[in-house]
This record gives sequence, C-alpha cells and structure tokens, in this order.
Amino acid sequence: MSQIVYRSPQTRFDLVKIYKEIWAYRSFLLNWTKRELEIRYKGSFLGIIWSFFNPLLSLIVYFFVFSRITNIQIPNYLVFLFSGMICWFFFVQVVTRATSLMSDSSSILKKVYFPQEILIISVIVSGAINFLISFGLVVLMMLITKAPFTLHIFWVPIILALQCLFLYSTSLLLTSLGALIKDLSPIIPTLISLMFFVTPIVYSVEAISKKYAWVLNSQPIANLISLYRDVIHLGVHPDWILLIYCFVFNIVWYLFCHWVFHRLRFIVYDLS
Amino acid sequence: MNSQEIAIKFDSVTKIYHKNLKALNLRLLFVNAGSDIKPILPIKSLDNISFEIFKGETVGIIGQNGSGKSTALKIIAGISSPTNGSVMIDGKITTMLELGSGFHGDFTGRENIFLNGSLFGMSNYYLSSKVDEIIAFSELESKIDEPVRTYSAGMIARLGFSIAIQTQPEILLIDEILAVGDIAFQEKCLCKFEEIKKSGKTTVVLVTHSLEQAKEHCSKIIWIQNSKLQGVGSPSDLVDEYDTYMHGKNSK
Repeated sequence: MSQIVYRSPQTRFDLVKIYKEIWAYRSFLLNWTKRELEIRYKGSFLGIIWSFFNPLLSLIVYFFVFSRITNIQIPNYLVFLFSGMICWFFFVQVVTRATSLMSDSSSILKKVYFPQEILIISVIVSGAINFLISFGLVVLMMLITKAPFTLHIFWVPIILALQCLFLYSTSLLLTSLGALIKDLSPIIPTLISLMFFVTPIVYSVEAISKKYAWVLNSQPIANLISLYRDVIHLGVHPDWILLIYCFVFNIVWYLFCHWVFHRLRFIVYDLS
Repeated sequence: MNSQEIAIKFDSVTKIYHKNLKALNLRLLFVNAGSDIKPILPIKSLDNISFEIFKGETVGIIGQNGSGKSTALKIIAGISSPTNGSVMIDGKITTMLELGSGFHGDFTGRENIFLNGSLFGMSNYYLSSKVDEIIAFSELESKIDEPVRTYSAGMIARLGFSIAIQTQPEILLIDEILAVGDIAFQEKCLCKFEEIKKSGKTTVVLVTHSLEQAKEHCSKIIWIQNSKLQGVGSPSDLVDEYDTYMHGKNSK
C-alpha cells in the first residue's frame, strides 16, 4: 500500500485528511493524555485523588465567600455558582496551557513528525476529564442539598461538546500566536482574572445594568455558562436560539482558528 | 525490487530562513525600535535542489556543517516545509533525527516505550506485542523499570533506536544518530540496517560525516555544498572527490 504525499509551500485545508491522520495517532493521544494527567500529581501523596480534591476545595471556598460573606439573593445559589464555576475552571485550565504549549513541547516538535493538533486535543481531553469529575461533585451536592433536578441535565454532554470545540479552536489560535508573540503568555493570567469579572459566574446576567448586558451576551464563555445554568440550575430546556447561535459561532470560529494555525505552523517552527 | 519506482523526489526545492527574525514582542509595538534592530536577512538553506531517490536505495547525504543536509531531511519528514518547489514522497516515513526525543524522565523505560512508540505512530496494541523484542534489542533488561532520568545518554539512545526501528518504515531518515552509543551498539545498529536493506523494501536516507560508513553502506551519495547540490552519484566517485575537496580546503 503506497500513499503519495506532497510537501509544498501552500497550506492545505484538507480536513478529512488531517483528522484521518489524527485518528491514526490515537494511541499517542491516549498515552500523552495519561502522561499529562499523571505528571501533575506524580510523587504527591494523594496522587490522582488530588484531581477530585482540588475542584472540590475551590468550589467550597467560592461558596463560602460568595454565599456567606456577600449577600446575593439567588435561589439555590450553590448550584447556580457551581454550574458556572466548572465551565470556568475548564476554560482557565486549557487557556493557561495553550499559549506555552509550543515552547514546552519544542523538543519533540522539532525532531519527530506527528499531527501537532494532538498536543492540543490532549489538553482538552484532560480538561474535560476534570470537568466531568467536578460535574459529578455538583450532582452529588445537588442530591445532598435536595436541589430540584430535571431530566434536562442530560443536555450537559452536548453543551460540554460545544465547549470542547470552542476551547479547541481557541487553543489552535493561542498556541500559534503564543509562539509568535512572546509577550502573550505572561499577560494571559491577568487577562483571565479580568475576564472572570466580565463573566457571570458569581452573579447573574440579570444583576447587570442593561447598559452593559451586551458585553456578557457577546462573550462565548458567558453564553456557555448560560446554557449550563439552564439545564443544571433552572432545570429547563436550553434556550434554542442561544444553542443554535453557539453552534454556528463555534463552527465559524473553528474554521478561522484552523486556518490561522495551519498558516502559521511552519513560520512558528522556523522561529523556535 | 523495482528500482524504477521513485520514493522521494525533490523538484527545485528552495528553503529560506530569515536571519535575525525573532518572535515578536511588545517592544516592537511600544518603542521606536528601529535603532538597534538588526536587518532581517534571508538565508538560503537549500538552493534550487532537485534529485530523485528510488525505492530500496540507501542514500547518504554528505556535506559540510551547515550546508543544509538536516534541512533536507526535515523537509522530507514534514517537520519543516519548502519555501519554493515541491517534494513528492511515496511511503511511510520514520524519522530518527534524535534518539529518545519525547522521553519523559520521570517515567520508566517501559512506560516510555509506549509513549515514544506511539509518537512514531505505532498503536498500543502493536507495541505491547513488540515490547519484549524492544527491551531485548536495547539490552536494558535490568533498568527497564527504572525512571529514564537515571539512564546515561548512551542508554537513552539505545532504547530510542530500539523503539524507532520497530516502526517498519518504508522510508527511514537518519541524522548522524549513530555517533551516540558505544561501538558494540553501533555495530548492532548497522547490522540491523543491513537486515533492513536486504529486505529491499525500505529506502534509507542518512546524513553522515563518516565517509567510511557512506562508502560501505550507501548505494548513492548526494553531496550538498553551501546549500547547492554539488553532485549525485555512486559512493566510489563522489566520496573520494569530497574527501579531496575537504582536505584541500583545510590545507589552504
């Protein structure tokens, strides 16, 4: 079986071929993700159990700060807060890794050929695993606090898939830009904490003056949180218009980021 | 063995690097940086190179340091891309540009076999059937369950080679890796190459500075000099010419 490949300066946009190749490397994706998850806790006493504890501890801290110390009047505030928090944690985890991904992995990028998207997918997969663990904790807490609970919660995997697509596209963009612009990676933490306040995580969109509501409505993470809240906190069907909007937005956003990534791929290589 | 089938074809390939081109930083935005910025100079690493490599050949690329040999290999591998021209490749490629890249020091040798092997595109299922063979070839039975950070450079190279050779490549790219490891292991690697060559299916492209190796193992030599193609031919013709050239250069 022979397959002829051409290497030329033009960028290719052959999605089928790219994802076929990624599929052929699925063992590497699995091993690399396992490594990502293990490295973080290697040598610590609790090991992989930390990945349960860490989100739990931060959820508890946020709960006490925002429900006991400040005075927010939202029914079932615990569930309200956590359904936004888990989405936010996932976003932060991926974005902080993405900008430095190229320089962290330059030792293999320069020596072995493999589809580079796998490094990003692996970050997304390990983030999604953490998300699912935290989501399990949220469900557990809903049971304990006897919060109302409907079958609409089964929308969560679909919204999670949308979030994964959004984070994957954004990471494609950030990895190549991060390698090209060295000042991007140090400024990301500041941008993230700024974004925390313009995202309705601890407060609700309704609490914001109408003048600024557009800022939240045009923000992809705020949209995702609003979808999560519909199905987890309110227990209603996700808003159809918002769902379709998110879907279309993410497809367009993905195509754009994919194009940038493949445009910059070799420039980034020659720079590093 | 059909010697007429082309495995790799370079069609007027040019690769340009830019000297002094660095990643952007904020200084370029905020400071009028014209004063101390060095001009960006295009450097041709490969200049209009064309050649053909047929299936089953063992080809040695020779040339001085910095002449563009490794760039050519990286373009074949798909790690880098040509600036102009095109390259056609027919066959599954395995690159051995550096042995043991992608190893993680905190993981054991055995875990790294899976990590590194899958990086070369092998499946976990295939690797678990080959793991004993890999360990036996690397002669690291006693250390295989210890973290790789405790290994010496030679041991890492041995394990890396043993993994990469299992890929059953149709095209094997090798960049001076045989310089690592002790003589005994080098011999073993060369034996393995001979074995691969005898099967007649694998095309081997190797960058080397050892003219003896080039003479003994290669069926064709590509000589790249100052980014340009100096000659393609049989080892008996080109190696001696290259040798004379290099010595003449030194005595000047």
